[in-house]
Parts: sequence; C-alpha cells; structure tokens
Amino acid sequence: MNSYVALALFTFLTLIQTSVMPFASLGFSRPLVPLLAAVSWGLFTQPLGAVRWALGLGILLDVVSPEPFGFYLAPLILAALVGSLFGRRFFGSNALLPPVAVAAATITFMIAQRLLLGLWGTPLAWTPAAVIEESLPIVILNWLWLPLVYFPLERAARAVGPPRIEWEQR
Amino acid sequence: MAVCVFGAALVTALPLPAVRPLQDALGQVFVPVQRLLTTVGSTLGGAFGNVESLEKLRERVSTLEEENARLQAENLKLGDLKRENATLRGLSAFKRNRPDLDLLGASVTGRKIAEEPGSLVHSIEIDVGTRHGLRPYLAVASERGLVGQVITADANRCWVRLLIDPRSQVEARVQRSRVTGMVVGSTSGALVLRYLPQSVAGQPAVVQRGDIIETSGESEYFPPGLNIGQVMEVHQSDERTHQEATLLPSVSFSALEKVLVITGWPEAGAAEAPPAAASADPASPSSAQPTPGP
Repeated sequence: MNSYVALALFTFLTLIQTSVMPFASLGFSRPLVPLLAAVSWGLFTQPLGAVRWALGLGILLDVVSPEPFGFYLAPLILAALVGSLFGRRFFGSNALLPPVAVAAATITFMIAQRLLLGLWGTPLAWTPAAVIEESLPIVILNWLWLPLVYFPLERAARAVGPPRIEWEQR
Repeated sequence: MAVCVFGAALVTALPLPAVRPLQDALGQVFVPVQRLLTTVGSTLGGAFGNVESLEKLRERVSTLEEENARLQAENLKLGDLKRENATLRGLSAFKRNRPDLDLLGASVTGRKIAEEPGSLVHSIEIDVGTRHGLRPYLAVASERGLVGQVITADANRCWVRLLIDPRSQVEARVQRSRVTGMVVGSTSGALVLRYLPQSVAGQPAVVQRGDIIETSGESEYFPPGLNIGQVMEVHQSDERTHQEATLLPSVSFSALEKVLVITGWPEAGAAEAPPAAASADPASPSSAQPTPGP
C-alpha cells in the first residue's frame, strides 16, 4: 500500500478511535479499531505487514494520548504479531481465523498495557477474574466491530496486492 | 332534419295544451335515464372531487410533516440548551457557594473528540491551557464534585486524568465521622476508599453505607470539601488492619460536558470555607495529598 495512503488511513483510524469509539463503549470498555486494522492486515498479507501497521498506528495513538510514549506502540506491535501468527498457525484459512486472531491480539494488548502500568508503579490486581473482567468486554466489542474493518481491508489488500492465480477445477 | 328538430323543440318549449300529454310521456321515459345519468355523473364527479381532495390532503400532510420535522429539530436544540443551562446554573451555584476557590471556567472540548484511546486509563481533554493560567496538577471539578487532575497542559488545551483512573489517588475523609483515607481509581472505573481504620466496638462505625466522601484538604492540589462519592459497600476483615469501601462516584464521568479548573484557594488554616448549599456542593473543608502524574 502506498505510504501516503497508509498514513492517511492510520490518521483516520486514530481519529475514529479517539472520537467515535467512546460512543461505542460498554461501560469503560471500548473497541480497539487500530488493533483490528493491524491484525486484519497481517492476516491478508503477512505478520510483518501487521507489525508495520501496528508501528504506524501505535505512534499516532501515542502522539494523541497524554500517556507516556510507548503505551500504545509496544502493546500494539506485540498484539498484532501474536494475532497474525497465532491465527495462521492454528487456524490456517478457517473462517474462525479472524475472530480467534482478534481475541488473541486483544488479550495480548490488554496484558501488555497492564504490564506497562505495573512497571510504572500503578497498583493492579492480577487475578484471572480481574484480567477477564477487563478483557472480555473489549474482545466482544472488537468482534462486533471486526466486520466493519476486516472486509473493507480485505478488498483493499486485494486491490494493492499481487494478482491471484485462480486454478480451474476439472 | 333540421326543420323536424326545430319543430320538436318548438312544440316542447311552448306551453301548448296539446303538447302536455307528449311531455308526460317523454318524461316517463327520460326521467329514469336522467336519474341514472345523474347518479353516474355524481359518482364520477365525487371521485374526481376525492382525487382533488386527496391531492390537497397529501400536500397538507407534506407541509405538516416538514413543519413537524422543523419543530422536532428546534425541540432538540431547546433540550440541549436546557441541559446546558442546568449545567451552567449548577456550576454558577458551585462558584457562588465556594467563593474561597478561585475558579476558572473551563469546558470539556469535545469530550467527544478527545478521550483516552484505550480502556485501561481514563482521561479527557479540555479546551483551556497554559495561556489561561493552567498548569499540571491543578484540580478539576464539576458542579457534582471532584472530576480529576490536570496532567499535561499545552497553550490551548490540557488533559485531565479522571478520578477513576487507576493511577489517581486523592486523600479523602468520611464527611460524617471525619476519618481520613485514600480514594483510588481502578482500570475498571471503580472508586475505592482505602486505609480506613477499623471500627471500634461500642463506638459509631468509622464508615457505613451511604456515607458521603469528600476531599480532606490536606493536599496542596485538592481543596477541601469537594464531593467525591457515596459509600456503596464496606469491606471489612478482622485479619486486616484497615478496611475499605467501594464508592459510587458523585460525578457521572461518561456525561461530562463542562468542568471547572480550580486554580487556587486560601492557605490551609485560613478562614473556613462557607457552608455548602443544598444541591451540588461539598460540605466543610479538610486536607489531602497531591497526586502527581507518572
């Protein structure tokens, strides 16, 4: 994908995350559209593509956020990598691949952010119940928003990717 | 042919006695036909009339629908103005009741356009900054109580860490018993009052459900007497030296629109804050500790 187009898309997704997603919140949990985009792109292309997207999106999120730089960048890169690798490894081209990848990526992202908060001295409860209570609503919200991100990006990936070879069935 | 028609017309027109029977006979034949034709004509005329009425009704309905849409839009605007008016009245009452606080009117800019991207931490962006006299660590409040603390400030905007943020800590006290503790936020948005001493048997409970929690005033960043929340549940255990309480925040953080940044108040030990008014105001002062950012 053209760099300028990618930058414009990343900016758009960042603005969507900060301005639209608060309205899609469930309590204090909100969908992570940049994460969905990075994981989806990794599924269409390759895990390295997911990392590149996570890098661009993470930088923009850290720029607009008042949190220390890296609060979104590092967890996003890690989550995108886990999501795109995990799904491919265990599910191949199964239809369950996107939701499973998103779930794995979301949980990785939440745990990575919790780790960063813990490193910065924030007291957190690390019980399984607390982690599930925080992560599960976001996983569900991500699943709900996944079609709106996945399918348009799939079309975009086909448009910018190499031509496909269709084998005739005899 | 024309002569015959003329002659027939003349005969029927002239009131000649001789034509009376002819008229009666013709009438016997014509009347039913005329009646039938009149009925058909009336029906057709009514149908056309109905079509014309229907068309007029449609135009009328369309006009009314447009008027209705315009009035609904106007009503929505009035509703927004009413809510904004109520919020501003609340803030104005808060300022009147707390003249000890040097309040800078500030509004949340598009809380809709500036919220923390993630879900674990809770911050909002407001539309005042350093050129308005703001600096980090200033307390932010609404007419309902304490909202949070400024963490970063640019020339025209600043970020406010909300009270429910997991890194937020405010020294507080129970309004009834005057016992102090620490209010902390959490990743889930819950507020907990910690480090309360255990209640002693035979004496009034240190904290109980329904107690109002306010800032204690010991901090140089949080003035005393700002409402924080109300106790929902007390967690007490004989194995611990302290007890905790879960609070219901007094501020609805998901509905914040306008907030006040508190830029100063009298030194601790100066004149007591005036007594709170009935509705939206905290009670008497105290002291608390600051919560600087990371």
